[in-house]
Amino acid sequence: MQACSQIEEQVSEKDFQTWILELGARSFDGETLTLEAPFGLFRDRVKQSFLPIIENAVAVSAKKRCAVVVIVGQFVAAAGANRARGNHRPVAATKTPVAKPKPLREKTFETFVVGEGNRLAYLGARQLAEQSAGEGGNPLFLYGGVGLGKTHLLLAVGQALRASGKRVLYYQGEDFTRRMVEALQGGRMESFHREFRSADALLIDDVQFLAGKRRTQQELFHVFNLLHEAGKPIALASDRAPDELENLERGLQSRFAGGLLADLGPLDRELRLRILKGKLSEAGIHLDDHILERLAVQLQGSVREIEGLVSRLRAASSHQSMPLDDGVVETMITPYLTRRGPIDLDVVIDTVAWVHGLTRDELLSRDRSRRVAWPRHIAAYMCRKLTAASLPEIGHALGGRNHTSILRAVRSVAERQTSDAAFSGRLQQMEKMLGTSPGLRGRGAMAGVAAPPPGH
Amino acid sequence: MTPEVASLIDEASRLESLAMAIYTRLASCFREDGELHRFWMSMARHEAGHVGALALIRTLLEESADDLHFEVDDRVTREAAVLIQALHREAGGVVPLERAFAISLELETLELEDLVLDLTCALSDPAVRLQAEQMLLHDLSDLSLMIEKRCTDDELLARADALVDSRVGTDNRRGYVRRA
Repeated sequence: MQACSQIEEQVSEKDFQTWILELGARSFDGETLTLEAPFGLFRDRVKQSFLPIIENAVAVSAKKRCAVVVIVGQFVAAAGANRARGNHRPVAATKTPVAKPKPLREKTFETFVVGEGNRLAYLGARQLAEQSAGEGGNPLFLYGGVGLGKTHLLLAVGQALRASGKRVLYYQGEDFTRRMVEALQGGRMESFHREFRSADALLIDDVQFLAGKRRTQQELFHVFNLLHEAGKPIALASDRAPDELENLERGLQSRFAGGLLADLGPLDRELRLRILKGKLSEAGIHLDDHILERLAVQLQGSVREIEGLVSRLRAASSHQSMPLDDGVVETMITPYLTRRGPIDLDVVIDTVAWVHGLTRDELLSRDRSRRVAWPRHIAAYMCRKLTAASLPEIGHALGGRNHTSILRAVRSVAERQTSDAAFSGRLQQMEKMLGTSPGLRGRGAMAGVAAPPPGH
Repeated sequence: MTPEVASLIDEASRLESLAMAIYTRLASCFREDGELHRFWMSMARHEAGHVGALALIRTLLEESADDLHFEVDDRVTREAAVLIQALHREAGGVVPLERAFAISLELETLELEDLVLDLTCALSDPAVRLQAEQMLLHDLSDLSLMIEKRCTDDELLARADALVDSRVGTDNRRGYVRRA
């Protein structure tokens, strides 16, 4: 355990996860520790980069110098997965990697981009961090899809509390289970409980992973009550709301739901744009406004997807032989403009508005001038053609219009399309922009449709 | 073997090692999921095997009685270096599953193996040549299967299937290296 912790302190988290946790311990005879790597090149990399660190850590742990031998083994390929299931193989110095509270990474409220979809969650988190939440806001239960900022807010709460001198425990669901199982197996439950009793705040991420684990849930119930009754802040995050968590004890479910439930909704275009700008600015990357707008409209994924794109651009820009010109940017962003699954009504509406030089609000307004009404007809047509939405749904999305209005709009656009080849071409280009035709995304497709004269 | 070919093999070997490191990193990203963890490790193992194959070919070429000369088009390694290094940095962060599959497709679409396969034409022993080729070829049907099983992105799956099709047989090689 000690050796593992020492190694963890001396290598980056990424290296520890990638190279050290994959090792298995075959034997330790008091003089020689034999570790197994999954294949030869892996072994070579470990020997080249980490062997002195492992040797030192083992020496400290064993209180004498020991030889460390790394060989290619048979079992380690599956060992990582076994560990994940709690079936641990010993790693380095014959000890299991002990689950311990995760270090709080640098995520703060200042770097969290607030929009309509996440405002409640943000405010709840801030209140909790400032300990002004009162009973109604504690616990805070954040839920929503992947990459929408749940972990960011949890970590920001942790950072803020820690800055005010509080002792904060932050666990991911699986790690909490592992910690509890290890304590149980090692007869250290008293120490386990002590750790929580002495904490000033508890943060648990990925609570959904506790589903079906009865003993873990019982312990969490106990820990939860302990802290909650003492008025200590508790924040939890999950991919779904408490009442949708299957195989979760009802007592725990009602505890989770007893404070503030805050849903983090999908990122809207505005929020995507602000997040994208912020991340690019942090990375020192400048992109033209037209590319930013286009990405904001078409990136439908999570913050992680935006981060992935930015790190890709940063990697490219840091490479001497690859200056970040338009061509490079195009290459880098193309995979991110790939459509996944059905197109969202909002994306169609945003795209059509943008192409016609209108804001979304203008397009959805009651303005009947041709400058706005005709693009609105086009949006209705596109929604009808590219999404599975019904006419009433489209009417609702387009500012609460009647389905018969939508039907008329769709027909008038379809009619013009058959008689006006240029107009038909522009519609096709818009479809390409929306990613419905393979291999046709990109600035070329965009250039043809961008900013046509109003009224077309 | 000319210094130019030697440095080409060294560079290809370096890039295959980086590809191995990317897959190993992806394995650690998905440690919680046994099936995915095993899958990414097997991809890493394949890349490690390519490094071994390159070492074998290098040795055989060095020991060849012929004074072999090749015309080398090193464009593929230059382009691959840019992409692999970028992907390596990206894999250092949080990678969603669909993006992990996309990274894998980008790596496997590179034609590093093609380049090295071209070098095997210099190996005079057909059995050795076949062995080297087998070590270098990577059956990507597992990748395609995993994408089909674990994600709903049809376009990603189509890309994977197209890649599998293109890798059936070795006759589609591009000819980056030719006997002079």
